[in-house]
Amino acid sequence: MAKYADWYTVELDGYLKGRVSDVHRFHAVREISNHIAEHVDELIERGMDSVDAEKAAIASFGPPRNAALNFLQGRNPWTKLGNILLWVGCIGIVATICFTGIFFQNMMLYRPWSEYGSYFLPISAGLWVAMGIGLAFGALMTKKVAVKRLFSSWMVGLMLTAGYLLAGPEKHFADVVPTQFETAMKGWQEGHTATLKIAKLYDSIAEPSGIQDVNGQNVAQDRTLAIERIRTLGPQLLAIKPSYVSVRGKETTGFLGPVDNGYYPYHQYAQARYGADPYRIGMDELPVTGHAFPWTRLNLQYFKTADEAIEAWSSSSRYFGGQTNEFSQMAVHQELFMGNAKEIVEMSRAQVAFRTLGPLAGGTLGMLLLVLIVSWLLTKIPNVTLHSSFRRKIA
Amino acid sequence: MAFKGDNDALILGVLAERALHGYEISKQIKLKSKGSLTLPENKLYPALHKLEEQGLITAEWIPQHGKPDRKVYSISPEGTLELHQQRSAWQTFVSNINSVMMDAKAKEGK
Repeated sequence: MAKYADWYTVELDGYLKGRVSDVHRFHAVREISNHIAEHVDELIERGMDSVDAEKAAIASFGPPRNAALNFLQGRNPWTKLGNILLWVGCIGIVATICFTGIFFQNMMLYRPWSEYGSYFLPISAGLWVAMGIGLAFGALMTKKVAVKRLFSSWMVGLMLTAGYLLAGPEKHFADVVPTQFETAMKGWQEGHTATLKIAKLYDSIAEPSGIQDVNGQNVAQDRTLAIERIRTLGPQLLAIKPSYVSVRGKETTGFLGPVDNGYYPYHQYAQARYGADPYRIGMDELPVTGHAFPWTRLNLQYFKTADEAIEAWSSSSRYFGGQTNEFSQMAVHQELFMGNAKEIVEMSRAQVAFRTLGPLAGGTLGMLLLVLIVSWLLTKIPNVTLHSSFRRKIA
Repeated sequence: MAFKGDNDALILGVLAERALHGYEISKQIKLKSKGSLTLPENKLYPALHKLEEQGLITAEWIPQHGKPDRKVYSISPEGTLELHQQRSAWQTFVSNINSVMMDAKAKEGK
C-alpha cells in the first residue's frame, strides 16, 4: 500500500494500542486498511490519480485520532470483565450444585422435595453469590443474558453430581449386607429406647427445677420437689448404659445435675441453619451416605449444693416446639433416622441418586429462572461509557 | 416515535440480502438509496462491531488469493428478528408522518 494509507494505519494502530486487546487492534487496523485499499482501487478505476485516490480514501475516515475515538466509543468497555463474571458465575453454579448434592444428600434424602427444593436451597449463600454476582453482573456488563451457558452449567452440575452419587466411593445402604443392617438397627433401637428413658427422667427432674419459656423466664419452680426428684430419679439415669450417660468431675456424692452437653449448641446451630438432624455425637455404626445415627450422650456431675444442681437442671431446660428437652427431640430424630434407613436400605444407588437430584434440580431451576429474569432486566440498564476518559487519554 | 432511524437498521437491511464486507456495505447503502444515504466510514466499523457484540451479525475472515484476508459480515437469526422489528417500526413511523402531512396537504388542496 502507498505511503498515505500506510501512515494512516500506523497512526490508527498507535491510537488503539493499549486501549483494546492486541487481537482486536490487529483486526480493526487490518479491516480499515482493507477498506481504504478497496476504496483506492475503485477511485483509480474511475480515473483518479493514485495519490489523490489515497488521500480521498483516508479523508473519508477522518483523522486517525477521530477514527480511533469512534472505534473505541462503539465498543462496550465492560464486555471482557462481564464475560469473565459470567464464566465465574457458571463455574460457581456447577461447584455449588455438586457441593450441595454430595454433602447434603442426607438432607435431601430425608426431606421431601418441596421442603428442600423450595426452602433450603434458596438460603444457600454460595448459590446466590455464584448466580447473583456472576450472572447478574455479567449480564449487566455484557448486555446479554447467557441463557445457554447458564442452563449448560446447571446440567453439568447435575450430571457431575449424578455421576458421583452413582459411582462415587462413599458406601451406601445398597452396599450394606442385610445382616449388617439388622445388627445396626438393633443398636439404634437400643439407643432410641435409652434416649426415651433419659428424656422422660430428664423432664421429670427438670420440670420442678424450673422451666424456662421461650423468653427465658422461669414459669414454675418447686425446690422441694426438685430436690426429691434429683435424689430419686438421678440414680435411675445413672443406671442407664454408660455409653449414653456419663458422670464427670471428681465428686462422687452430692446432687446430680447436667453439665457440658456439648452437642447442644451445635444442635441448635444445625437446626437453625439447616433444619438438620443433629449428627455425629457418638460412634458411627455404618457410614451410610455420610450420615450417622444421632446417638445420645447425657453428661452429669455431682454438685455440692442442691441449689447448684437445681440451677443446672433449670438452665438446661428449654421449650422447643412443644418438646421440653433436647433428648425428646433427639428421640424424634432417631425415629426419623430409623424410618428413613429402613426405606433407603431397600433403594438402589440409582434410586437414591434420583431422590437426591430431584429436589436439587427443582430448587436450583427455580433460582436460575429468577436470576434469568433479573439478568434480563439488568441488560436494559444503559452502559456507563468511558467516553470522556478515552477522550482525555487520546488527546 | 418508535423508529430509531439509525445506522444499525441500514446495515441489517443490506446484510439481509447477502453477506458483505465493510466497504461493500457502505457502497450498497449508497447504491440502494440512490445516493441519498451515506454511512460515513468512521461510523461504519464502530456500528458493525457493536452489532457483532450484540449478536445481531456474525463475521468471519475469508482468505483471498493474492490479497489480504477480508472480513465478511452476515446477519444472524437474532439480527433478522431485529430487522423485522425495525421495519415494522419504520412503517409505523412513515404511516404516522403520512397521516399528518397528507392530511395537511389535502386541506391545502381544498
